[in-house]
Amino acid sequence: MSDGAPLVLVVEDDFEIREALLEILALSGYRTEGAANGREALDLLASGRRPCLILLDLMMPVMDAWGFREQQLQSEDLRDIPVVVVTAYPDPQGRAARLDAAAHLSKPVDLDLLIGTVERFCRA
Amino acid sequence: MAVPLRVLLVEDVPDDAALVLRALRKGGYDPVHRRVETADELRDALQQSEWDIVIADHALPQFSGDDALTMVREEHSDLPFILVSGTIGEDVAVAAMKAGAHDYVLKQNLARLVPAIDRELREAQIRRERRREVESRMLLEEVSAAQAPLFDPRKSFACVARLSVPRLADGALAELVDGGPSGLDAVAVVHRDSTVRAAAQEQRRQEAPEATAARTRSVLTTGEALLEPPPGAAPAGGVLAPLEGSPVLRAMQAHSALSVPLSARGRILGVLTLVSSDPRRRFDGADLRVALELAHRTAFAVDNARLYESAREAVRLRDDFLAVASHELRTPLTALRLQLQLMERLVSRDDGDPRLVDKLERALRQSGRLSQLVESLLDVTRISSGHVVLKPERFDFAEVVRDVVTRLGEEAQRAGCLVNLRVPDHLEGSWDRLRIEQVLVNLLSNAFKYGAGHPVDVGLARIADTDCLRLWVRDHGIGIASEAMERIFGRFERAASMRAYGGLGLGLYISREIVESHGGTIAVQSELGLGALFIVELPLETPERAAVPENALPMRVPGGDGTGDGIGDGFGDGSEGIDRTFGEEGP
Repeated sequence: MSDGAPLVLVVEDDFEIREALLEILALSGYRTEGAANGREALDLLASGRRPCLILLDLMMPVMDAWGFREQQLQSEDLRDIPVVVVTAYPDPQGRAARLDAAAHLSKPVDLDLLIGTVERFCRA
Repeated sequence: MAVPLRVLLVEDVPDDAALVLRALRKGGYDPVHRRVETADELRDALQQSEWDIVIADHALPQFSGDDALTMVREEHSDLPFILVSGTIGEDVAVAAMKAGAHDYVLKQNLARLVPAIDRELREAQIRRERRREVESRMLLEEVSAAQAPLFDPRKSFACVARLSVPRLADGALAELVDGGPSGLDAVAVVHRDSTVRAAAQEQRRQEAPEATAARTRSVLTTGEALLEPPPGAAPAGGVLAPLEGSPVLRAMQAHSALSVPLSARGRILGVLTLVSSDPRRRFDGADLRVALELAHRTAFAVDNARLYESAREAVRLRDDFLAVASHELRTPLTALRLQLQLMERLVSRDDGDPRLVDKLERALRQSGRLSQLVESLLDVTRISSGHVVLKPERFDFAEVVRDVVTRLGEEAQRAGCLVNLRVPDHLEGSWDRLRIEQVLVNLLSNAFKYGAGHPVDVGLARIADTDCLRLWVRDHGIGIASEAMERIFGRFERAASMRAYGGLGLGLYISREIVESHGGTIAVQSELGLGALFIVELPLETPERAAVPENALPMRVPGGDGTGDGIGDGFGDGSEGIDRTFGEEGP
């Protein structure tokens, strides 16, 4: 895993799931960063990290996907980073669609599907 | 004691009238009378007052006894009418009786008059009571019929109160026992006079919760009916004093009141109070009997409504629980699957022990099954709580069928099912792709499960001359008993034994909901031992309709790397049998 490898940011509040996703991505040759909620993710991005893709869980404490996305879209620097939504929650009002994500993955996540999706946006 | 009698005399000769009155007094009556001679006077008398009996001379200069009879019958079909005359031919008398007179008496023989009146008054009373009985029965039937569809206990009770007015009473008050601070909840305050009703409703609204009228409290504690004024007490001049007591009763101008408890299964559910605002009408034993019967039926209906409500609540709670539980299950399942998949990769990448790889694959399969079960559980709670929205898109149905069959290739192989596919090259339309795939997976999985070891036929065709398609899946397995046919589409239902076949029994329920949301139908034909044929018919175009939420996830398909299955190119509409079998390599 070289320093030139693309970076994927995983934003997920469940520790186990986040760790597993980070490990899988690392195994596939990506550099990774993890954040437990939208706020932490924004802090990470503010410190200069530029991932090729953000894997975004929907429901998180402190700041959820919608809160994060709102902030992200307001920043010229950050708004073009593609977001893939990963979710276990049912979505009766179709609120996930409002996020205007590049793709949606549903939990439990299929590894092949996950890697395939990430590869679409980041070449490892 | 002289019996008061209101007598209407149709007689032109005052002396003859006097004779009749004397005979009456001798017979123990205390007559209050009016004498009329003409039709106009008669009409006026009938309209002005109430009468107990009409005694008419047969031959009057102005008009005849027959005319008088006709006039009386117009207003009062049952008012006792006795013809008195000096001369009555028998045929005239018979004719008069047929026309509705109750008796005739000769003036020379006035001694017969009083016994005739006695009998007549008695019989009129009997007729009156019988009429009341019939009316009460009709009222009860009507009340039962009106209450039957009402599942709301309050509506049910209110219905009774409304139907009682004005036939049984001038006013009614229906109070349900509720657990709240007020103790009693007035579900209906009714009166035939709208002004009185408004005043009574206002009174009830203003009443402080603890101020349950003493009479209602008494009924509640004793469980006995209360009749005021009690029967037997003779009112002065036939007029009842207004009742003291609750402000609501006073507002209704109650002169007589009847309160009955509603009790079911040993509990008192409420109190029904009937009110008479007529100073001359007092509730009696017959009224009490009707009211008790009314209360009995109402209590029954109200109790049922309550039971129904609590059953619905239980179902709601259960569905809420299912939704939360199945959601909570997804999180650890996700972590589990990710770890297993990771392990698999690590092991095969490092040329690991093949036994390890094999075991990981099995573990993954099981977690896949777990995942599927959780998904169906979540799905069914969403569907049954009405939360499914279809997202129609244009696609090729035939292609999706081929695709799903391919994806399930491994499962088919493990079940020993050869899949015969009869699908056209293209069949375009608009449906909810994910949901259609869900239905296909469900039908095929069932076919593999219950028809293991036998071929499975899958067909698709446009139905000739229509804008609909037909999809069918046939297995040659154990079949379905006729008693089970409708049930298998229910939730948590299965035709075969639970243990032997696994799963939660939700697939067909979900499939039916999906198919019907598209405006289609799903049906099954089967015979025990001969397999089952499931037929789905769908319109080619699905209207955009909101029914369930988005992001409703399809059942996960166990990964297959797709061994080839037979692909057919025949058409037909499914009514012919499958006539070709393809090998695994393809045509």
